[in-house]
Amino acid sequence: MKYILKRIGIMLLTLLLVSMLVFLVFSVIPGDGVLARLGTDATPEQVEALRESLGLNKPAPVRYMIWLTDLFKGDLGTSISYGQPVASLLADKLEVTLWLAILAFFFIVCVSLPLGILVARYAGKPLGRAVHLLLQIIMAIPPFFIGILMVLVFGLVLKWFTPYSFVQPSQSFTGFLLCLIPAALAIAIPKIAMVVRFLRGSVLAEEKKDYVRTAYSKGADRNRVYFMHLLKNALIPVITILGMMMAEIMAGSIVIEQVFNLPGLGRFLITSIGNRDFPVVSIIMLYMAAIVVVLNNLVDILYHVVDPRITS
Amino acid sequence: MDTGMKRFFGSFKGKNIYFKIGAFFLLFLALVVIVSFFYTPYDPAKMDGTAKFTPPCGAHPFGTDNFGRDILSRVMAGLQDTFIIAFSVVLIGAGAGSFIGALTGYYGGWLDEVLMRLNDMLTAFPSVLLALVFVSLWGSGTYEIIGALGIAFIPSFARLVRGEVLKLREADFVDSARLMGVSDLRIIFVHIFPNILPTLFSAVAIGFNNAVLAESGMSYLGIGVTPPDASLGSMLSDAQGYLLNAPWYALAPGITIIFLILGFSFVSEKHA
Amino acid sequence: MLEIRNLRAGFLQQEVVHGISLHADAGEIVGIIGESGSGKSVTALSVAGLLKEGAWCKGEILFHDVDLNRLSEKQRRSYKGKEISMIFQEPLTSLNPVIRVGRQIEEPLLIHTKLSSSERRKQVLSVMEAAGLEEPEKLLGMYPHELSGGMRQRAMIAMALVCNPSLMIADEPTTALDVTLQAQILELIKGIVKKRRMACLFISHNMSIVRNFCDRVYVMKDGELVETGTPDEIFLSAKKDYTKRLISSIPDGIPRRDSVDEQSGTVLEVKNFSVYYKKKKAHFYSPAELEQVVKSVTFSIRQGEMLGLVGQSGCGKSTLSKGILGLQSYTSGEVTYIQNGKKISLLDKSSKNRSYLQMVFQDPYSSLNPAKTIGWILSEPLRVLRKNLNANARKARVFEMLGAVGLSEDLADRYPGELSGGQRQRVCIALALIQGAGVIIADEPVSALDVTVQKQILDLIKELQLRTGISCLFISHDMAIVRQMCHRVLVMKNGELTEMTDLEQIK
Repeated sequence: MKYILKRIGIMLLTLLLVSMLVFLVFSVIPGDGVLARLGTDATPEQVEALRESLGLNKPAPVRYMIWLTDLFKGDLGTSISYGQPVASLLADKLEVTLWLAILAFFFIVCVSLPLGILVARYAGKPLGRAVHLLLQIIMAIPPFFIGILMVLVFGLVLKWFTPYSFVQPSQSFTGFLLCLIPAALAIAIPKIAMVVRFLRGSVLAEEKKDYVRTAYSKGADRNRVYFMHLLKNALIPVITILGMMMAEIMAGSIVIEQVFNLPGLGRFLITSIGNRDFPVVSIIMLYMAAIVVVLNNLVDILYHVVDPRITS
Repeated sequence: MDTGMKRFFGSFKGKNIYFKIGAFFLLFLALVVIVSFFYTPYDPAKMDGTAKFTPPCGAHPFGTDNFGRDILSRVMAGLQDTFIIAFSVVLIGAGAGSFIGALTGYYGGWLDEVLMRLNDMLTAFPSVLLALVFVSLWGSGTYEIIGALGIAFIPSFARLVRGEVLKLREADFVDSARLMGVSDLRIIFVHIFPNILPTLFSAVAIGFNNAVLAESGMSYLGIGVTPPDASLGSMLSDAQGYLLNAPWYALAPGITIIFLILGFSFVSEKHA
Repeated sequence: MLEIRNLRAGFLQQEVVHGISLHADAGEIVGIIGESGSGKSVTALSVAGLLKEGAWCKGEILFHDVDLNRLSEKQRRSYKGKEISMIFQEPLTSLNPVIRVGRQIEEPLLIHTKLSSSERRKQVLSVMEAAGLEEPEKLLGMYPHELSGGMRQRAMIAMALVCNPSLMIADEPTTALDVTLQAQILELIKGIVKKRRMACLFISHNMSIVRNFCDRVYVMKDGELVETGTPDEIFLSAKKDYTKRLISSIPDGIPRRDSVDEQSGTVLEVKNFSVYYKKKKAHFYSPAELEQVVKSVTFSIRQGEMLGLVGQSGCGKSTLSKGILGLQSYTSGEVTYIQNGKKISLLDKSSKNRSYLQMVFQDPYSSLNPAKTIGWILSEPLRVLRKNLNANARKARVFEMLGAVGLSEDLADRYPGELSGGQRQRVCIALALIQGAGVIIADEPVSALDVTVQKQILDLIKELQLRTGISCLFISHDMAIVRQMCHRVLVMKNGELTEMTDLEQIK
């Protein structure tokens, strides 16, 4: 319990640090962008007036404090290129990215755990080797190329889905989820290969440990040794990998969103970077960083709950 | 150092079939890169309005693209760019990362504590995302990509090397070296470092792969190599619009990337 | 009960056990002793049916007149844990870290019997009591890491007993334990075997344990049986040369007769020396909390003296030695080296003074840099300290030192991984000598070695000491070795030193 509290404390501290970094990187370093907004022929008075109205003439730490308190009040700033509040711009994009992440994570867990156990179980046998090789090839394909191939094969040739189509969740939620499935699969496939390989390695490492020999010495058969003894030990490190992946895909699969033309956070980020729309970029980056920090800490806490060695 | 290197390369001998296949892929592709400096069948940037979307044939073994450019020549040039970018990225990442990791791992203390907190945070990020931060500040282009990805790769190498140094720091042979009066820097880089090389080699190969993937991803997003230059990733990006009419356009660079990455992962993996 | 006929075992093409035959009867403890690589563990694992994938065994293993080697895998399993059980060397790693102790002990019952859960619980509690575990109910729900080393091994024993097997195989069951615990566990195993009329196959490298503990002994070497008999027959009237050599290698513990030259002066003086450990990390608001581990000790070593330092594990003797060498962060007190009447303080950090004092480490596997050749390692101090020597001069010095410790010159091009444990320890000694050390601190220099190699190294240290007049602080937990090696012995307990007066009396 003490550990969990400590962990949460560290997490909050890290988040604060992240927010400072984001503010520093996107609000202090690039300059204030007032000139970009007014054009180069603006008079110094105009510039000063705009600075004044935007609060940019105050020193950076004060601006940071104002920015941070505004964040807590729910005011995420105003987009430069759209002139709208960032929060309203992001809401529906966040929905797309989150559902995509949930679907992809669901595929990853459902496929990789059983497959990983299977591959490890048959590690020395032809079946195991064949799957292992296949996974290695999959991991060699850039994730977006998998997406492109899926669009080509299942979308354009086989016509199992309509590529580049998108249904608003407000129109039909099922339709919305269905059109996310190909993209979710494209995200999941390389990750599945990674988890399976990791799990296989983990199982093979556990297999060499003394307690496995003890289990055999009690007369346990291979299945019992695997499922009752080995698997729990082998799965513990997989939690970390899954947690990191969860964070990664929640943060947005920028490239895949591009491939499937989905209006998610990642694509919006790229567009905003192109527009040098720093209020938007900083909020998206802050969100992604926060997701990573929070999930990593959650994984650490989970670790402590699952592994009795660390708990005490 | 020489003895360490001998041992390091000696460990390649007697590897299995995977290693040999991987080494073959890499040697072949490296050869193509070297050739591409001196010779490509056509000028990779030369457009030919009369030869748009020529399917693979004798004159254009990989066909031509939407501007009638020869895809084989472009793949060769793209491979060259990809190689250079990935190599530079890994050089920056592994070089700076090893240096930081070795020093913080050996000395520990508050600097280590702070750097590793930061590092933990950064390693958790997808490297593309991290590179995006830099690109958003610097703009895009080949050198920007190298810088952005290179910096984004530092944390993972630093973490790896730090972990290894931390482990080896406790070994008796380090105490033994201290008793000889060997200086700290010499202990770190002459005594400890050769023991990390095999691990570092694997990490470099994996890092190379990640660099290729990250670069191709960023070029695909249009924030990497800028036209008329080509990298394998930017070619894929261009090809996406013509999947049905000219599938060869996407397949040639795609398959080249796959072979490149397979080569490195076969070479780096420990096949027991 | 158990009869092994012409057992051959090996790994892939390589045979490591070349046709051995042995037997064990009910109520009998049969010891198999041998040095590393003798094939004793492979023999045990063959009988238990626990050989790893790729390993094989041929020949007959008759257990109650059934040849286990001919059974199918499934039939064989019905013996494991039920009729034949096994105890391993390292109880912590041999227990599953994420399963509660109670469940692990219960598991053979789940596999082999149809008992109800309350019957199983009763049986588990009764064997736990038999294994000397107090308050077994409380232990059931604990995880292995929550138990002490001795309790873990008792839990292993309980697990091995739970199905009432008739054969127990114990592979170095006490090697990982402290001396006092060793005796308790051995007593326990002996009691159980005799009471339940089991047979016990006891594998060990420790001669004195085998001698006091076993009813019959087999001596193995290089995969073959050398000799067999009762402990007295083996230890008092061995017939084979190897057995004799083995037995003569056991430290006899006869105190050293010669004494240090009256004229020789003190070379090392340690005064009010303390070593501290960091108990709590330093924070912004509070300095690091220090715990005194070595408590203000004072002693000195004369030239040519071999000073022993004994104590149980964890008493602080290694901490003390590293502290004197300047390898600990927090120390206080004085360490003075005296050369030709000149006093040199060793605790300031200037590197040049360090080489007067050198160390031979316990584990020769970790004290030599695995990425460097022996020649490189030996010449490193010359490169650092004596920059005026050129490469050829360094090489000559290295060869000279290799010769002095009885190694051939061509070892200079090899890596530590290619050397045997004894050879590595010789290199470590050479490394201490090449720096011109006046005092060598040897921290358990032979405890990781086989008995025969151990004797060679001890002889080498003694010979070098007599020849070069070097002094030595010899740290060990083995009283017999200390007695035969040292002129004087210090005892360490809880970080404090006392001098032992009468070497004859101590055990």
